[in-house]
Amino acid sequence: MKKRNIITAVVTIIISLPVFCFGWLFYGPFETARKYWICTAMSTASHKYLATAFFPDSVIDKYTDANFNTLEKVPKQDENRVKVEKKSDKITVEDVSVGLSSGKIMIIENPALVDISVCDYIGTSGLPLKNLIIQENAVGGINAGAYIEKEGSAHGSMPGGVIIKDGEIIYSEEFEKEEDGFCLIGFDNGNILKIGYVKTEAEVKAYKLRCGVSFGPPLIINGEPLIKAPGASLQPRTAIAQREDGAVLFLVLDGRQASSAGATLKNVQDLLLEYGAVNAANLDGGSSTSMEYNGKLINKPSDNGDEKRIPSAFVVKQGDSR
Amino acid sequence: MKKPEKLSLAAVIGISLGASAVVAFIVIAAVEIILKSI
Repeated sequence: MKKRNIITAVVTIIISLPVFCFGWLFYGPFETARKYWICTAMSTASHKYLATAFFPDSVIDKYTDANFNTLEKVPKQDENRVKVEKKSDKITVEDVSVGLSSGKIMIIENPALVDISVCDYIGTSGLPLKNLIIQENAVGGINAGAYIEKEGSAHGSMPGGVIIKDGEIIYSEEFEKEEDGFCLIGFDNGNILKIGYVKTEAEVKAYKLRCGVSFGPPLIINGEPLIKAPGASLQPRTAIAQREDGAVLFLVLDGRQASSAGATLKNVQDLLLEYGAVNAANLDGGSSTSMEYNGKLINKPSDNGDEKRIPSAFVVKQGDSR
Repeated sequence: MKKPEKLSLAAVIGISLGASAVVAFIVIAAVEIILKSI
């Protein structure tokens, strides 16, 4: 074969292969792959165009209605379900995997060590997780609450929902913005992880949290899993949970990578149930998903492995600092 | 011995496009099977 023919064939294949892949994916007989593509794109904050550019609203609605409406009514938390036992300040980190994703779980035996770190520059700039941990002189942590992408403001500088620190509401969006209210996730003075929807400042105060942020949805309440449908959105995920004995679980599952495609909310829920979680909630995911321990980033964030600037983090403090 | 006929440019592009379509089908079918299995 002539050299010219070989070059022509290679160039044709390089150009046409992605076109055919997307052609088969979008218009071929591959319903499941198409559903995952649409649901994954539509559940991101800034990549919805990957679905909207190729599919009409009717197709997007068909898939997303069937896969997003997975949340049952959130039951009231049983006050006596978690008994915080006085125990060691031991922290362990384990490798985990579920479905098509892998990541890390941090088990913090003493829930009193868990706190919130909030960026000092709200409205100006977010901070990478590393800096939020240093700011609180903590030993580790995970990204936590929501943020709003606002034109003209730096990434991660505008938190979403509510932030509570040292028992005070230090930041709050307008409650009227969200019809269902904000999902509040935080710890009370008894170091119990509290999860629930709030629509007014009075409802936030009624939780009497020492620290907390907003995200969601709740995944497990009183040991009952709330996500019933399998879901089809594969994303990097961050979650927080508490076991019956009070130990706190920080979970990160990587995504958008060849080695770890991402996890559905049900994957996260199933993994946390395996680890004995009785209450659990989803936190901000996507490229925000990050976990640090002992000064090292121990997962692989999807944004080229770099920590994104975020407004808040759940951190775990030194054993004798609380 | 008879010299093999030369492939025209159009034939090369056509064969390459066909091969791409088949490979792409196999790739997406594999993805479909993996996603169905989880």
